[in-house]
Amino acid sequence: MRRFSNKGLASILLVLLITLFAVVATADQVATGTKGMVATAHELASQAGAEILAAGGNAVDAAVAAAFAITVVEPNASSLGGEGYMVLSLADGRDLAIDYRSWAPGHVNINTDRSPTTGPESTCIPGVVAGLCLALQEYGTMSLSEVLTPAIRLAEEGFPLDEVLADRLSDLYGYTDAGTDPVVGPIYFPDGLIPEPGSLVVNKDLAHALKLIAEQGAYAFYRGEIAAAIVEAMDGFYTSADLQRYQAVVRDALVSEYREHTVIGTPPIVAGIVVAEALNILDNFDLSVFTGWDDPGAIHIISQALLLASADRMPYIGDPDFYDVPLEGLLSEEYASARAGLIDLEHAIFPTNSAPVGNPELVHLLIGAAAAEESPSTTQISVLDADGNAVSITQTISSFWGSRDMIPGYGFFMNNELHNLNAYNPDNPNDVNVIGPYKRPRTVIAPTIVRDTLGDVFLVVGSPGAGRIPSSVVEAIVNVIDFGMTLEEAIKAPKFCSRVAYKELRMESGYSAETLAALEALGHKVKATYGELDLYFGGFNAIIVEDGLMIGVGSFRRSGGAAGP
Amino acid sequence: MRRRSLFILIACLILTALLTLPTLAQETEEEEPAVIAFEQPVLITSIGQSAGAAQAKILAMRAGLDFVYEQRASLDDLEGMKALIVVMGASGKGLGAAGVDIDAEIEWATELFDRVRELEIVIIAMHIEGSSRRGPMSDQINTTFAPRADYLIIKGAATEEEAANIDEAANGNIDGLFTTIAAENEIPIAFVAKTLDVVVVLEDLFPAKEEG
Repeated sequence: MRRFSNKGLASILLVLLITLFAVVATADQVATGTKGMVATAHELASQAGAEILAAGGNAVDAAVAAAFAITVVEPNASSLGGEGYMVLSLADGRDLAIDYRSWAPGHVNINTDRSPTTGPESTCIPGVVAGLCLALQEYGTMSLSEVLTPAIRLAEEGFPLDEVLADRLSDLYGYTDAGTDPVVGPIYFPDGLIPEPGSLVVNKDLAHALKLIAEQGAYAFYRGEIAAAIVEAMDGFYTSADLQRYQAVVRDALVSEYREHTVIGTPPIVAGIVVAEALNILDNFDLSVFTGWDDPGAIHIISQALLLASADRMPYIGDPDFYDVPLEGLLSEEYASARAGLIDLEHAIFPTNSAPVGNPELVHLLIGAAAAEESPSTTQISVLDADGNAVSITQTISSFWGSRDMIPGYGFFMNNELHNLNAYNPDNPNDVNVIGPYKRPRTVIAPTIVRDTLGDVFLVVGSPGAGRIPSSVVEAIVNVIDFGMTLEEAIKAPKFCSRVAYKELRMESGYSAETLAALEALGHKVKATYGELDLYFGGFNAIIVEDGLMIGVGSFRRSGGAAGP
Repeated sequence: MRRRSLFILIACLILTALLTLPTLAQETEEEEPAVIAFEQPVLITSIGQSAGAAQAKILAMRAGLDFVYEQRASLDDLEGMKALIVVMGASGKGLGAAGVDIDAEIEWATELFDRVRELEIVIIAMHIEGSSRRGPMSDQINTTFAPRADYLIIKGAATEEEAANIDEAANGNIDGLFTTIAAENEIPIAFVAKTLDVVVVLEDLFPAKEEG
């Protein structure tokens, strides 16, 4: 007779406990609590994280559970075949980041065509499984099988199709012959048609993959049977060695100050540096003198700071495993002060994509090739536990549905990240984002955590939205800290985007006509053709702490949800 | 006196009319509905480049139709066709993929409809993607082409009572637009609650050819 060890028995009890809490946790677009909070792009993923918190897990356990669950319920934006970046602010004072960005396959070189956006030739080596396993192993308290319980349940038993996913499935259906595709069809289009809202989405293939990961860890994905299936499906674009070589990396978080708050963000190769530099520049101005988010004076200064910060991204920010990034210079007060000195309060001196690149180390680099543009198809997960551990994750497969290749038998899509690397340009030999083997493509994700003046976690924030991410994150932080808005107000307030890749100041609907006119009078070329709460400007899933109360907010621009234990 | 007689005569006529009309109406209601049957082969295409036409292809297969599917048909594709099924619904991504904008799409579809009329081919216009294809661009298509169809198939609720029993996202007739278009233009209309229900409507509209 087989005997259970104490550890095994405890594990089984914990899984039973998690199953019990599945009934308890519910999610809303705005939720409050004191025992922890999870905010994601889907209420069921938030509930998954809340279940884990309720069962005694910490923020890392809950974040990993939510991150796996979101691959089930938001498969268009997140996948085991994707990548991400995690920022952690732990109660013991450590601020860390886990880089699980994808890598270009080993065979690529400067002659490789990086332009395909679909099919195996568009993919990079995925990092989600390695990153989440590493986070759990290093900073979690639960086992993989425990935190994977909610995701496996959702994949196996199904979940009701909401309107947002139905729309995305409609896109997928239109892109391909998915209705009759023998791999995708039976999972997402069981009648050969786009399923009706409310019908159950069941993905037993993905449940199988998640169970393998629960049993074998990252081995199953990078060396085991899932790896074999990926290599076969990628038709030679990957080798087994590529997958075996992949590693997620723990890095120092990018730590900066803003109005005596501590901002903890992502180090290169993503956009934490743009958020930090823009806030550093804004620290030279008193924004509290303005009336708020609709004040053209404030918009003018913030937009110019964002433009200057984004100008430094292309020439300096490359894969840190391949290039030295002048972080010290870019983040110094002196540099921010010099950049702030370029802003003319009476005139938009950089109304188009002509903002000058700065020189943080007295070196001069030409502006990079046109930046590769990540699609808005990412997802944000924010988690805070009762002990003060906080996790902010942005996860992506680049475009919605990534490369559109589903791995047969395992129910997940591969990313299409390769196009985020630049083609080789002989006129720009210093391009730090040029395509190369095992390089991480440069993108603009920016999961962020803010600690207050006492050092306690105050805000966990981040957003999808491609090139709009740094702008939207900076504006949300400014709305809360400078304008004293609640998190809900700060997120709902219209957003604008200013960056060198755009030729105009792009503005969401909701700004007053007077504000738009005043900005134009300052010399801004305004493009205000977007809708209200337009998902083009992102989809925040965020948490704030006010007098000990945790307030979670699921995206208003998408259909997010927040939940606490 | 003559005036009084005339008044009585008119009153009698009105009374007779009032008593007779309901009977006539009842007789009309009791009449067998006219059987509508269209001929095959059928060309299936999209106006607006959403995923609806690709779904119509699957529905036509299920209904056993003799059809050709072209996501963006050309005038040449009409050759030999007896019926045209257009699936209305604008998709920004779909239009982008086709390299056209909404104005170009409407111009092209107008040309297609004009040619169809010359060829005396019947047009069945479908709207089967619910409220998500009722935005401004989609409605430009719906209001331009639905009135020109010979038959409408709409996923949604025919009445407010029915609307209470249907998911809002699945209701393409949420504001009664298609009910109004059908009434104003005297176009027969069929409502379905689920996309798959279109198969039955198509089977009725395109009866199988008798063997031998």
